[in-house]
Amino acid sequence: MEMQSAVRVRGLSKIFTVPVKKGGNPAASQIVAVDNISFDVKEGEVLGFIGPNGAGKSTTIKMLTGILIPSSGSIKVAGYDSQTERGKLVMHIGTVFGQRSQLVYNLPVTDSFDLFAKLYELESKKYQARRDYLFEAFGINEYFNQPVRKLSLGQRMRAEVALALLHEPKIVFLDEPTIGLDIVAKQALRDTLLKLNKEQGTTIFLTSHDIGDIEMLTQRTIVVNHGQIVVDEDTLKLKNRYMQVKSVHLSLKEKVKEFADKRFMDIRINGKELNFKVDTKKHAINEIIKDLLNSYQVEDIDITNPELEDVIREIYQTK
Amino acid sequence: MISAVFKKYFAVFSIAFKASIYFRNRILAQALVQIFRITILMLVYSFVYSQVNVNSDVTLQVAVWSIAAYFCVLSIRFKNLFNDINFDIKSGNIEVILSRPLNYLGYRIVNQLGSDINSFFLPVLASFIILPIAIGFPELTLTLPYLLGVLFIVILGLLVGALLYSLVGLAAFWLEDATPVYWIIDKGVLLLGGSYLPIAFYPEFMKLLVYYSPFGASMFVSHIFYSDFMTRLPLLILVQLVWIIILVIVINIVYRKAYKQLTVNGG
Amino acid sequence: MRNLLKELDKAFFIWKINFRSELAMRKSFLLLTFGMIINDLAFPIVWIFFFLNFGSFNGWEVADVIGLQAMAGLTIGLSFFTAGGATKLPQQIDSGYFDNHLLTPGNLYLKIFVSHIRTSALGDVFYGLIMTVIYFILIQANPLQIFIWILPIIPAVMIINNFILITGLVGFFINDATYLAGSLQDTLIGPSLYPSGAYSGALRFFFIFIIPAIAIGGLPVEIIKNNSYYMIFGIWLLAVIWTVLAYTLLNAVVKKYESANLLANRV
Repeated sequence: MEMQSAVRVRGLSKIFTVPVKKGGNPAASQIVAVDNISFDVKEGEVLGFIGPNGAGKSTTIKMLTGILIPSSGSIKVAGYDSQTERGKLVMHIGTVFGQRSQLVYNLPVTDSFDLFAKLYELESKKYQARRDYLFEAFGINEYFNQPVRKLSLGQRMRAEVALALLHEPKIVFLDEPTIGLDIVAKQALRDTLLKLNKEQGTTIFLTSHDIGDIEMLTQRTIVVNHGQIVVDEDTLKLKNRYMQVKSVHLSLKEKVKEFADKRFMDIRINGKELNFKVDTKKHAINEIIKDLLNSYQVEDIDITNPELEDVIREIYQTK
Repeated sequence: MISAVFKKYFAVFSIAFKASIYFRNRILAQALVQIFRITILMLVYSFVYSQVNVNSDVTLQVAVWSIAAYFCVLSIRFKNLFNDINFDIKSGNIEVILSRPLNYLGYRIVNQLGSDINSFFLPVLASFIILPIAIGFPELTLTLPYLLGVLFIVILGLLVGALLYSLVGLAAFWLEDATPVYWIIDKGVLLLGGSYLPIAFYPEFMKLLVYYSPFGASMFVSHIFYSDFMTRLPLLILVQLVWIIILVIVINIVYRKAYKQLTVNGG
Repeated sequence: MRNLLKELDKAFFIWKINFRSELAMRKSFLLLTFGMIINDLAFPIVWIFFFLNFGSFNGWEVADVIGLQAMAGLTIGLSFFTAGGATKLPQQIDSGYFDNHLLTPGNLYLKIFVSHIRTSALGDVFYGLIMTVIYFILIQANPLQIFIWILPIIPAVMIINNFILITGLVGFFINDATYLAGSLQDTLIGPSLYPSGAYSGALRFFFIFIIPAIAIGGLPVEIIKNNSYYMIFGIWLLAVIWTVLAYTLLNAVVKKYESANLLANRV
């Protein structure tokens, strides 16, 4: 049976008109923020929507959620036209904008949930069951009675995401949900989102600058740049193609004068600090680590994923 | 050394002035509020003077021009210092400014002056256009001593106002919300500064407060059209200077205590 | 009808949440409320001195200005306390907070109003009540007058709310519109506190029909003074007109909304 589309976008564009001065005379310049993009998101899919700053990600999400009106094109989200049926649409979507809170600052977390229950017209028993489920899933039971202003960022983000899921939306838009979180908090949130996606089939539309979010959460990734879609494929395939070059940083006990290994790229030596890159498609990282530990007295080792901008850059270089 | 200090603060003033030009809406809005108030009060007083036999040497022109002077100076909005200092303390932004080679309060006062000097000129200009046409000028003898006197009164008055609001702003180090304290200061200035009612119409006991309180001293500009202004000028300047000295001493004491609190808590 | 009640119920719930949020900072809440009562007392003092100097004019006396302060305190206070969100509209647009209104269910018009409570406005309400008691004592109000006094309050609150909402709409067209909207709001609030007996002819027309400052303060006092009870219908009619105007304009203008957060340029 063919899966329904949770999101259907056709020929979407957004052009902003900006006043500029040309030789002292006022004029208008047009900025194409989103340029004729089309894509579908299947129900139950977790989609990563990534791109560098200014790529058009936020503009696209705002059009999908009905905040912005497109210059051209059509959008259907959860079966509703985001332009003409916004009032109905909002009942079926959830949103988390990482840098903006929907929680009531001075009151306990539960009060924000009570408020949303009212806004989304949830029946009392159903609301309580759903709330209890989300509190359990997101580990909110330990702090639901505390005022929001006293929570850590990680606790707050968990509450924000749980709140966005309270009314069982068909699709939830997460814009940088892990921004500012430490590694433990990030992982906890990712695990919960995956669990919910599996159990409840909620479609997740995720934007993030953290490549770890994309790797761990998404099944499919769309990369946008300059308002256009440059890549749209399975995250695993994207990962295999572009995200396999890891950066390795070693802190050694003694200075090293020379370091050469055909397996490594971009080698940089700075006293006791050694940096290089390795293509993990070609060379297993665990073997490399074993060899290094055998050859050198290593005090610290750090392996990082490529920066998103590096990935995007590489995408452009290989296209 | 004085020249170096002056250059520093002049640079702060210039930057604030340049930055304010980008906020044209804000400048216009601030100026329009004052122009609107001046115009409405002019119409109110014109009507009242036409209905009632005013037994006073305060003519309609003196009354309205003195109110206009109050609102023109008010457009520099030193009352904003309270919000800015409050914000700096609560948000920790004060640490950014403290790390600069400037006196914190000096920076804030000069910055505020630079930000709002634009919105001062518009009400002054509007007053000199609207009021002469509508009601004419008050009787004045424009001599050099008079003009210098006005200049001193305005500058010293601004300084008194700036110090008053700065002092209230520093209360944010101790009070969760110093807004009620700010209101008392602000309404003191409104009441004793000659805002909606020229101070010449106040009873004698109120006039004592007008002449000798810091609230009145911050707005002695509203006295410049009174016939006894030049006679009173030495007293007015003396009162302003005394209050400046007192406020500087108090602010220093308060600021030192506040600064200790800041470093102990880590900001 | 059922939908309307549902939306009103939602709006009231949001208001309750916001009220409880303000109440959570209990000390600040009480300080602001009490402080505002003290703050408001400056105005009657100024106007009492005004009348002591000028005597009565156009039928207006000290008691009437007390009544004006009472009614203005009640209507403005109730407006900002129950529906203070409209005053924050330009900031919400600039900061991107307005997105939250669009992203959650509920009537946009109502949600804007209840999105913020101005805590200190409760002080205005208490001030209004105190002045009302003094006014009733001064005029030796009879039960009919007391009853009539209550009738214009709700329409006056509606007029204020909708006027402020309309002024807030500038935020959809201009960046950094907070000050401009505030200035426009001041054109209503400021003149509403001046004795409306001083407005005549074109100015009176302006302040009833264009900027309804008289309708929210002076007119109710005149109704009691002159026993012109039919004018209550006039105030209600104005309230309906301003409500329809605000609702229509909001729905038309929101289509022009181009969401941006504070850090991004409006591009």
